[in-house]
Amino acid sequence: MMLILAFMLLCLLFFLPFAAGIRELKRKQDDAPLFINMDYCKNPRYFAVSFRNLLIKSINGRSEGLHALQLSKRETVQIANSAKHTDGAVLENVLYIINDLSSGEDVVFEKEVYVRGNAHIGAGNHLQALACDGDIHLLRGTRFFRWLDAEGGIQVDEECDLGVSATCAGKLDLAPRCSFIRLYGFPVSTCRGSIAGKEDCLAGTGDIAVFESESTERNISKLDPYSIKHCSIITNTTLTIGDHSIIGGHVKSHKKLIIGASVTILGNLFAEGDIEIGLQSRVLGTVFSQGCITLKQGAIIGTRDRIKSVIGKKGIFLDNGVRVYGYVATEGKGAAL
Amino acid sequence: MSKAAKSVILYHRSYRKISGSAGLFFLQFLFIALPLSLIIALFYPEITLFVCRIAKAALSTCFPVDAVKIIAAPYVIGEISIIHLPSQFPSVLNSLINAIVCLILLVCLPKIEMAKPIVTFCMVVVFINFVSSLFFLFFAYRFPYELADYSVLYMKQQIGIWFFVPVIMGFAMLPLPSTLLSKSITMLITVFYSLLFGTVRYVVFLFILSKVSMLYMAILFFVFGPLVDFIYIVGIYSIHAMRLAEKIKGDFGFWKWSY
Amino acid sequence: MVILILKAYLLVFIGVMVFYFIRHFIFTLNRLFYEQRMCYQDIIDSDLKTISILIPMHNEEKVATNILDLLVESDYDKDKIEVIPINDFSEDRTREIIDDYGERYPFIKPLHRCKGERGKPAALNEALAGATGEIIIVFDADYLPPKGILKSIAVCFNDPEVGAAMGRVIPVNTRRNILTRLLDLERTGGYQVDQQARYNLKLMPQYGGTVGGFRRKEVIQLGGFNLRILAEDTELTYRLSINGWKVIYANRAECYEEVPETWSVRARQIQRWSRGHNEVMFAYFFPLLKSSHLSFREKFDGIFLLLVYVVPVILLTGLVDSLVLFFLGEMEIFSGIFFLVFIGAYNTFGNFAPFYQVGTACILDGAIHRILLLPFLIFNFLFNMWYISKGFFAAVIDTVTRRKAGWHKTERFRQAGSKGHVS
Repeated sequence: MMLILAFMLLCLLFFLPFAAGIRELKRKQDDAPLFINMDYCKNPRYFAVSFRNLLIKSINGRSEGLHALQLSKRETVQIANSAKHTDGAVLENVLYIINDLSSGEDVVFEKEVYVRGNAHIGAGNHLQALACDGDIHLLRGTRFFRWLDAEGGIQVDEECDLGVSATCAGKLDLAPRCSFIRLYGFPVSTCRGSIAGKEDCLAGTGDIAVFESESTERNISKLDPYSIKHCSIITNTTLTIGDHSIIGGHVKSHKKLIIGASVTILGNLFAEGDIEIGLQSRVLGTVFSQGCITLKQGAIIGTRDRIKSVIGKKGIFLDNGVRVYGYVATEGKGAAL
Repeated sequence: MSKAAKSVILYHRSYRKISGSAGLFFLQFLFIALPLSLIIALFYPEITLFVCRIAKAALSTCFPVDAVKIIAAPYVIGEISIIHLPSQFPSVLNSLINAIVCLILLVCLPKIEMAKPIVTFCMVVVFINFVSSLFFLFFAYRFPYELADYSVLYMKQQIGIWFFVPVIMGFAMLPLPSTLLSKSITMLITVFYSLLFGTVRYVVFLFILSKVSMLYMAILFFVFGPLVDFIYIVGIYSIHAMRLAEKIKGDFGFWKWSY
Repeated sequence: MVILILKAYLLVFIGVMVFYFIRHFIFTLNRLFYEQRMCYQDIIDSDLKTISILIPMHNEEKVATNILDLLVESDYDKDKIEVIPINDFSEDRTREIIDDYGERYPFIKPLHRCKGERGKPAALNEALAGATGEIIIVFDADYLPPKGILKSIAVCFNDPEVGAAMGRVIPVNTRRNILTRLLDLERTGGYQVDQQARYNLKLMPQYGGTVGGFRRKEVIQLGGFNLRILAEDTELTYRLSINGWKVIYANRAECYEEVPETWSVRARQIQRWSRGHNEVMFAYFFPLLKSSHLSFREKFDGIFLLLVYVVPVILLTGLVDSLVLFFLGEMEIFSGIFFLVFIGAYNTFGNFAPFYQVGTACILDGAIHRILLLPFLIFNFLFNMWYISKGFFAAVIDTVTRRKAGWHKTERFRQAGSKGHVS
């Protein structure tokens, strides 16, 4: 009897670890394949596009006033012809403004806002998200928690926080001490006023293709000033490129990349470490770093008619007078200095 | 800003990670896993004696009282206790029948298209038993083990298992971001399960070898030995990991991204 | 003397297993806690490279329309793309299906093969010769590429050092039976933890021959695909690496695939993988060590990767070794550490990823109840060991006798007319 019990106990102890799995096989609680969004495309303006589409579809020609609508969940949407909010106001509903929006100081928008005209956001405002079919002007100290997007341009005054993403179809102009995570504009710029400087001197800049070099030089650690290389460079060490050099190819370093002043690089820049691009330097391709990227005064990335990217995993710092034609993204801290 | 503000979006699975470090893992290993292994290492004489007493109590119901003995055998710095029982060696006919049956199975099993993993498992069992049958058929006199020798082998193997179970469970489970309390409880459950399993298995195996045949010693040692211990280690780990996964699901603040 | 050798072999075997255990454990810790090396999927670049998408197809009427429909919907500029479905000696309606797509879409250019050598490497070589894209992206016919995946893979080649890029493979037919669920677990551990950790640590992620791409000109310069080697993907990984190119892993570039739904098909698949991988091992073991382009740790891990389909053979012989020692009465000294044999076996190669690596990967993926299936992976242990060993011995014969292996495609299970993927 004891032995029979022992044998049964052994069988139980042997099969017990399978019990939970057998239950799962029967219940099939988690047998679906891991979800892949089959329609996913990299679109920097994704949040804004999907929000606009969702809101317009839900509004469906309704007139001004308050409406309970189904967006991603049930929301109260206020439709107005235009809006002008006084200092300190708190807006609790999703806003749909048919013409222009203007807000005073320290206004709080607790939900998303869609402006079909232009948006003038007062100092110290807090917003969730803003989509605008015209231009956006953010006064000093405005803070976004999620995103903003404009079909026109965006002008950002000092000390604004641009949330997760600030994108536009036109020029995105940042004043000093603004912070960001992702930017998209033509260009993304930290210079106020008309574009001047080196770019105007490069005639036919828009026609310069990103150079595809056939040859590669390896394991260089330093290039003297005024060097000219008609090749790509791949190195395992920190690479310093001297002032006024021209590189007719791509550059990749497994450590840091330090680009001097007035350097022209026709290809892409990749580095495992930090990248520093010097004064008035020009990179026609994409800049990618697993560390931080610093663009010093007057640096230009990309060209007028092409989209390029500056991706710095740990941070991106833009000095005054910098221009990036396209996309700027970091997983760390982005700041206009 | 009201609570309705959504400033966090759940990170995609591709580059998300958690807080922690190798240093933290090793600290937990030092204080949760290693002490259990040390207890086994320091108290294995007492543990094996306890196991043998239970085994003796169970086996005494099927064997004459004098037949079941607890004896000591040296091991490392101390002694281990083992059960001594009379061995049951197979007859020539028994070995021959086993060999023929195994041969037939070795020929027929590969033809089965369904449930191949189970078929493969059966083939390994059958192969080992086939080798054992042949050995007893032709070299029975050279079989190197009495039941007492098997007892020694088993107990030494079991001590090794009991020692390494906290180690393996530690490596598997301690990096996970569950609480120290849940990790400690899981570890204790695993060690207890291991002790219980090892004891019950000892009783059953000794019964088989003494009452049925020593021919099956090889299978019991190789197939139903340490490999089977992994089942409960992985089973307990999977329950722990599943409960953790359930707890952290949708916990936006739990995850980190990229670095 | 013989007994001494047998004992020494067992000790060496245990040592190898412990090494692999440590390796997998390091990967798990790295993936959980440490800095994740991003791939290039965030780059937005209007200067897209021209790409040629090669899809080898042998009797793929069940699945051909799914992948072609999805590629038509891709967001890649259609004037920079060509899709080359390669009809490789098909006897079903594959020819008619791809010709129909070729007539409807100018960027789809069917290639029909009915003479010469059969098989994926030969098909790829012939397509390479006529392809015009700077970058070649390969999909197996049963794959279901999302809209944006072509850009995610192509953009990796903005890095001048990248020779090949590999995305993540996710089984779509997990609901079928226990086998598909277990294979899903294996894939999860292998990609989410193992590949990503190897990428983080700058080791050698593997190009898997599908959901991946490589530079056309450079591969042609290196001689194209070797027709004598079944695992053309592993061979390319090593050939590129020893010639100074990097193979990178893009964990964000996810694509559905179909895994085998019967154990017989799985047995043939894994045997073929083992055979091909070991052919690469024989061919590249010493060239890997001698390459001047690889760092020490790339070589070190590259060796581990090369030997990954040898380990089950070592395990099998280790078990036989211990069986012999057992009958000789020499197990005394080993019985206490014999457990380590199975530690190593189960942790390193009971499956393609050890159980804790799979568990970690599931947690990272946000999966919950499927983790409870981990104990069932024990059934894979002996199954894998047996069929991988068969593949290894076939590779030994291939290498010694210069025999060329015949190509056998994995059977498809999708029903013709189904969309194939989760909507």
